Amino acid sequence: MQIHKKRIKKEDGRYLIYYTFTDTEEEKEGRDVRAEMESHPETMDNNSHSSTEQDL
Amino acid sequence: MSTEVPAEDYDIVVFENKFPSLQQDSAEVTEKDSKFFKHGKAQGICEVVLFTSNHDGIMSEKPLSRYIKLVKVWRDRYRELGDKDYIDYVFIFENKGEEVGVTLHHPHGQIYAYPFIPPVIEQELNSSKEYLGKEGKCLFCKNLEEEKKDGRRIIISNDSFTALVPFSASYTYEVHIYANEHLPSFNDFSEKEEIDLAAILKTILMKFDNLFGFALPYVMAIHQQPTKGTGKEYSHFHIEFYPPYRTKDKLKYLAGSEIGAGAFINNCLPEEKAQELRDTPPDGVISY
Repeated sequence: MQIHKKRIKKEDGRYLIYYTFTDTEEEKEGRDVRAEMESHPETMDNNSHSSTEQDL
Repeated sequence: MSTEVPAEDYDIVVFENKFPSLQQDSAEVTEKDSKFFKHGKAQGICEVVLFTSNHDGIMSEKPLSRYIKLVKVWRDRYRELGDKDYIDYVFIFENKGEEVGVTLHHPHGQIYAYPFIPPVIEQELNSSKEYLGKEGKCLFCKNLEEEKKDGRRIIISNDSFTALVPFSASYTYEVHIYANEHLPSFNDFSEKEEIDLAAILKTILMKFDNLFGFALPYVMAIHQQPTKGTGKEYSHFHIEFYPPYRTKDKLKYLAGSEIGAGAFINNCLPEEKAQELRDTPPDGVISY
């Protein structure tokens, strides 16, 4: 996961930084594999965990 | 927060505190020192970190990826603030819940970049430095080695971190998370250690919230190496949690012995509390 930041100056002079994140190619691939495995749960062992929340 | 962040949706946001205790452009000291009373500039930086744009979000319910992002942001803030020549210590912390004086419910933490090493941390580092001088080992590495040997106070661990109720716990459900290896600060983390820290953090927060069935308030403090580069051999990255509840409906108050004498009274055995936290779901550490 790569981190990016964008700094702005607020009206009163204070700074504010927006952090955003992007998956690396490797992570994208890993996520695809996980999604594939989750669509075939019989291939997962009992110790596998996965989150159903959107921003994983 | 809508008045602070000019965007409704965002990932993680950091901004300067509106009412800072320390300021980059702090006023010059005009009072003269006496032989007894000394003055100093309140120069530093106070930041607020919004963990999510979800105002009513409960962190323990957030996916592991959110914790990984947060760890990355903490690392970045440690680096950036620590690079400033007038900063000696970057202190990352979270006050959570009304019981510890928080009125803002949006999931957030704070960062104070001090122009000195704060006293609790300085004392801790001095003890570790002294131990290193005498025994040739970092005090925290030794402490963790002994805790692992005993095992009764350990709650959970993964490849990189161990969570435990310390032998000398001041609070009933006090929990410390130590790096398994001698990692002085965020600057020494690998990507795996980022993920492992995120995983153990999420697991501990889930256990905290499952303990009594409500979001457990706490004070969280991250202790690591001062940012001027000193103390690499005796600083050891760890996180301390201080939840104020001692039972489901009783708070721990700091009173005469604690405030007046600095002697904490804890009427519970850390071994029993560690067992209770081990027995509280989830079992084992959440994994990616």
